[in-house]
Amino acid sequence: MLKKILRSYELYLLMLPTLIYFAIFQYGPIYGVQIAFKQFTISRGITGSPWVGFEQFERFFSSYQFWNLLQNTLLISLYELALFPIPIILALLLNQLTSHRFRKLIQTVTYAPHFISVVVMVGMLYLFLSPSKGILNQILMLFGLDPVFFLAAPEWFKTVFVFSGVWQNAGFSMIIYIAALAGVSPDLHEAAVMDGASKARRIWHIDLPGIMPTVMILLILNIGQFMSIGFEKVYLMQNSVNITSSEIIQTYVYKAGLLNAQYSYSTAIGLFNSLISFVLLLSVNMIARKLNQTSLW
Amino acid sequence: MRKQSIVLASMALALGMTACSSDNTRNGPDVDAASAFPLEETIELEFFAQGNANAIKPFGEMQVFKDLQDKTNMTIQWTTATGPDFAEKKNLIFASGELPDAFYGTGVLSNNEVVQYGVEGLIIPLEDMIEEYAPNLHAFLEERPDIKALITAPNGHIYSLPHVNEFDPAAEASAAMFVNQDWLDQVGMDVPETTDELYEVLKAFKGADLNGNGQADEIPMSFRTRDSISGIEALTGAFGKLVTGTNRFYVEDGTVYFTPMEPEYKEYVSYVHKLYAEGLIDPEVFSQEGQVYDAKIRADERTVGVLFGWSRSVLWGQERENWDYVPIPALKGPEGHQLWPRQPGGTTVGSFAITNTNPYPELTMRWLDHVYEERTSVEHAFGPFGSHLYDTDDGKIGLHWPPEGTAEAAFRVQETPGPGAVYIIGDLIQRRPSQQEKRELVEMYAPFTPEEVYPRLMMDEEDVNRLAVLEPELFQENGYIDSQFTQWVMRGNIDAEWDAYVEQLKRMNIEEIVEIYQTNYDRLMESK
Repeated sequence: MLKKILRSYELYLLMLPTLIYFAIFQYGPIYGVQIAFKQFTISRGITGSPWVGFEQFERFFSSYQFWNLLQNTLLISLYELALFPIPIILALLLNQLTSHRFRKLIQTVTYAPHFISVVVMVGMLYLFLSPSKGILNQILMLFGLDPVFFLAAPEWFKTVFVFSGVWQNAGFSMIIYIAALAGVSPDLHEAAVMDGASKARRIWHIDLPGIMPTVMILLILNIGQFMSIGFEKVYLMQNSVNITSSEIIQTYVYKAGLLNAQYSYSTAIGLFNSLISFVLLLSVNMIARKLNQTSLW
Repeated sequence: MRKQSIVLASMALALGMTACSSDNTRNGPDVDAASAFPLEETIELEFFAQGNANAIKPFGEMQVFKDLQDKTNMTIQWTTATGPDFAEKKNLIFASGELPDAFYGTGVLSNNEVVQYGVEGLIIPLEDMIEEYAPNLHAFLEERPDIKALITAPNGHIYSLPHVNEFDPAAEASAAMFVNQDWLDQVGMDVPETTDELYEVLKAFKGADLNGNGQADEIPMSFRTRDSISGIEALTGAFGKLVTGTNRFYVEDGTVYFTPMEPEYKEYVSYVHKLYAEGLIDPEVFSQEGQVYDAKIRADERTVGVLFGWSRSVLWGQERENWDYVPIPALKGPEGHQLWPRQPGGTTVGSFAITNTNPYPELTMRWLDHVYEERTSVEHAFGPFGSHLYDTDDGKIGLHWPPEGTAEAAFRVQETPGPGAVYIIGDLIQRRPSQQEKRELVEMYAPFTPEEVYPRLMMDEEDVNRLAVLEPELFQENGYIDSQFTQWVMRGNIDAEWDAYVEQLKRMNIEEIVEIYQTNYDRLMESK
């Protein structure tokens, strides 16, 4: 085996930096996960703190917020997942445009919001959705409806969060699908036109199957991110009025860990969250492999 | 197999790299603890402090610290954090093990942190050093056994040094309540004296164009929450049991009550809900930041009728003829209760602590003892002599008024951390008119303040660790108590949900928490 390695040592050298990176930044920190099963105190350190078994997990499961947290996290994740096709639809439609300049324009306009920082973004939300001066409420009032204080209403929180996410990121996610669509052979389209297929038919029978592998991979990756909602945006949008529907596992972990210095407790919750994501990823990958042979591994 | 061995090798490498980075003892000159100031060789120390949002200069450039440097030849490298970053940064410092040499500033460590980190040995006991190296502080503590009892942890150690402000009115004062006199005149009513009268006044303010700008922008009442100065919590007094800022424990005849679990609190929430439901309360009360609130109140075109704050001088400036608001006395509630909150005194524990990595703990102590000297203390509190202070003819210290265009709060922190500095001040200072006004307000509320207030005491390690587990979900910002209060005020339905709420509190071990507070209160009372 050593001979084999020596023979192609250049390849291994090339691989080494990546391996080191993963070892240090991805696998190294896993060592610290053990504090989820310990009562961590700073002076005793990671190895010196006493083991407490599943005490931290039990504390989380019996917390009054547990079901609420789980529900909010799952609902927001599901909501986001349900809107997964939006960039695909956008890409398919854009692909049909004949004017090259108009297409570029639309593309730029839709992905520009991606580059707005989260803090600014939430600031904009507060302005746009302000009950007295916000543009959306102005429109509502124009139609004689009552203004809604969107950011202070628990029932509106998830919608505002998810749709502002779509507004910000749909254009950017679209780019990858547009690239995939460019790879669909024009021969197929020509043949279909010859056979008299309508535009809708061609999208359905040629474009969509053509980008299906890309869609599946992205869907699986998305599900891997399921349960790990971007923490900053939720945290910034939180206030005491919408807290019942805006407290998610990530913000709870932040408060427990960094603000209240409950390190073991927050590690345990984070570990619980990762486990769920891991199981989901495995199962979706398996289903995808069974259904159409596209999968991560 | 091959793959595995490479992975293992890289992991070993990574572990090796992390293992050799934990040696953090620093090298500095070897200086004897008792050598005379200024030292012959400059020594450098790192301090962590809470910054002040109003301050312009970094701590290192402030005159009071430059003076100390000249006296001692010790250079302080300051790390500061402000606002919401502060707690996070402090926790990261402890978690990472990269401790500074000392923690500096009013309440830079909470009482619980002092006990926790003191017992863990991250901050060191100071009681022996005080006697030897801090003559000013030692003399003060000999004179004031009550303060010595406050800063001593239950295990007998003093892990942190206090910030003491007994220059009234600040020591015990809390919020004051004001009403717009012009508006009262316009609707032909008097300053309210009961909660019912307040309700009537607010109703009269509602919908009338009292500022005469033709718009319906009048807000009958505005306030903040979780705030002992501009918070509505002062109103709890009218219902019989107090909440003071974020301190929700109320003491009567030696018994500790958790106010939000008592029927009096239910009455209070119902009352606030009634005001909210009729549109008498600013809809933004639960989301507005302090600056937004202040700007709203200070706007030349008045839009707020009733509000909470520190004093009129702070809100609208010194000139009495400009004040169009008058204070509202402690309101009488429906059952005849009439209470007003007060703070538990001017001593803040956890205002200075020396860490176990500090190479010169004795010198640090001697450096700090300078600020406990009487006149230096005043400088650290209000700024240096000359620009900020002057000697009066009757042997007191007078405070200069800020130059035109500078706010009082910003002027105070030009050359010192001001309220965040470590000092002991008593009655050496001559009151400014603005402080005179607050004094009058305090005297007005004084007859209605409770005899006992839950003190800022230190609990033993076991209790601290238990509370660290139990309290956050209940008490932190947007925690159970906060969110329940908000929901009730906005949606009502208090009667129907009250029993379930009390049940929930019990499930969250509120009884155990109250017991911990009670035991520790009893112990402190006995030690006095």
